[in-house]
Amino acid sequence: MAQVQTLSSLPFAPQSRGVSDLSNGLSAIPRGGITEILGHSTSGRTSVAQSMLATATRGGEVCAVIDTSDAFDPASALKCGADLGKLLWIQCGHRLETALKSADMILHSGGFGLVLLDLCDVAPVAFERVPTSCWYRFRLAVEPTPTVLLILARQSIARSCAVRQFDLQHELVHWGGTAPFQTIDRLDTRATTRKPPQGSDVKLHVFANTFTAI
Amino acid sequence: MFSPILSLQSKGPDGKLFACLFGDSPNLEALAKQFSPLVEKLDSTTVVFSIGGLERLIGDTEEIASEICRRGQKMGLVANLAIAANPETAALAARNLTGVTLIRPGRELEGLAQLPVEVLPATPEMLLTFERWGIHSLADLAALPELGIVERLGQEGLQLRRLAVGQSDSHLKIAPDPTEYIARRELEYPVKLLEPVFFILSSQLRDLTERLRRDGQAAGRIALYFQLEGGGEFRRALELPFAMRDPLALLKQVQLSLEAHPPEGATVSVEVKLDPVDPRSVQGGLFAPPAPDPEKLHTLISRLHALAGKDHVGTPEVLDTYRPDAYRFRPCALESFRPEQSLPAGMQLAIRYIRPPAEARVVMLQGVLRRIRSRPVSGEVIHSAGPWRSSGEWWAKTAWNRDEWDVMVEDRSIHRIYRAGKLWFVEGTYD
Repeated sequence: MAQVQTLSSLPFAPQSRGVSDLSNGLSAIPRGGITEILGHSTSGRTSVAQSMLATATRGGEVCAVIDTSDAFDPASALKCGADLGKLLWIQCGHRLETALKSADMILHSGGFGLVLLDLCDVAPVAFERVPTSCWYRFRLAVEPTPTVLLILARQSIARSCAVRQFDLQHELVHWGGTAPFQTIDRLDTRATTRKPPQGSDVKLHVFANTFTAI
Repeated sequence: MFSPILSLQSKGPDGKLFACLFGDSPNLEALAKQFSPLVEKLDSTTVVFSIGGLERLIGDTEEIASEICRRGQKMGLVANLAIAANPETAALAARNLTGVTLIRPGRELEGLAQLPVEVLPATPEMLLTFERWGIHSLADLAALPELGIVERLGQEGLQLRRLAVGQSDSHLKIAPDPTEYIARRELEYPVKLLEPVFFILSSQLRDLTERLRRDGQAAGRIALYFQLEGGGEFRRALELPFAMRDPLALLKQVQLSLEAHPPEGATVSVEVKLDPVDPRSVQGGLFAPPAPDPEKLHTLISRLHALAGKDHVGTPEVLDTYRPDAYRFRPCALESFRPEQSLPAGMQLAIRYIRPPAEARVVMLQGVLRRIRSRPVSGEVIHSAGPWRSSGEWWAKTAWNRDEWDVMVEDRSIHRIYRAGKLWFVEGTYD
């Protein structure tokens, strides 16, 4: 049975090893492993990732955002509560190779709490040219460290190298105000644990405050 | 010019003697270094130096004092000179007795007896105590029993009494000369490739960092100077954000810099200079979260600059404006690892920007958006909200004036689109 969670609680606990979770219903996100958050546009995957960034940076950890398609919005991360001063942002200019090389350098450099590899807007055909050994290399680089490698994508890329996979699916959008001058109040999305398979579903509420005074 | 000698005493039997010069001249240290390498500069007006062993070169203590006076006069100095068996007594005498004073070891009190207790480095409270006790001179203080002083005034009082009777056992604190860390190598033939130059730089940096390590220093700046074939020169300076002395980290910095800006010609000679600075001291915390090693982080950022471009790597900063997507990069300064006490704001809806915004073709009927077609998004519009008029910064090149809509298309993804003039753009996707 699905469990409703408002996620006012922390989705990611940086001070402990492997106890963080998206909500009570999902499996933990372990350190020293690759976690994939999968979903299509407006499924809430970026919001979940930025919430994790906020928690990690607020906990004093240095994080990195490898932005393959230059889509990261620092203002959204700030609104989420992230400390931008502890964030290293790499714009890769839609070059997958640059993103993968950057990830490799960062993981082997060590010391980062959370490394976010954003591959949401990369065409699936591009991943066919990426050898599987690349993900094994990432897994080996992360394993002996307390770093979390978080991959955002439409579909699973790291496959067996990932220790956790979450699938997000957009369910409902709550619009506020009267038509046509409405704003997005809330986005309801359903998160399913694909790996490990015994994980349960959870409904996530992503709140929006997109209207800014002019 | 030195004042005439007031009193002459014979030198001590152990030959351990110190001279002190007290005056306003900036050349006191230079004069002292003519006699000994063991020089301590107490302050801008006082220099103490060892003259032990000079009797073989110059003669007895009186002749040493005369020689110091002669050279001081030659340099045009006006200063007091005192010679004693320990540095503190020599300094006390030079600061408070004009001319030249020679104090025989074991008879320090005779030379200092008449000095007031105010010349001692005592706290105001201690001086007030002496005044209340009726102690006005060093002779008065020396007459007090040592045990009684310790009982009533503690260690500070004991130190002052020992100073008054010239029983100090302090040593000179020698400041090392400023050392230059330069390595230079002439090549046997001009080298066009960078790889052999890195090989030479590697060994030079290893030697220089070893010297830095021995001296307890680290590098704050690397300066490269190459002589090129045909008489040309190549200069490059790398400012390091923090003190480093790992030769591999320094070599990586040099390597990345030279690969980005190679010399224009074959190299004939290689010179590298490291500017010494105090090394970093970092107190690690047992419960501190993981953080990148600063040296590795700096190397990482340099490599990322080379890979993705210098304008595409850094720490983001949101600008204080209502202009959409207003941010800038600032240099990475990820050294503050103190955890914040406040909690994050919870999960907030994020937008994924399309940079630059994608041009779109939009069908609008009777003020309602019907269909959108663009590179990132196409389809029937099933819900829309807007327009929200937004404008600003009309006085600058960054001016904007547009109408915004939030649209949900048939695959139920939500996008932000806007119309600027007659053109439509997709700005981003809510995710």
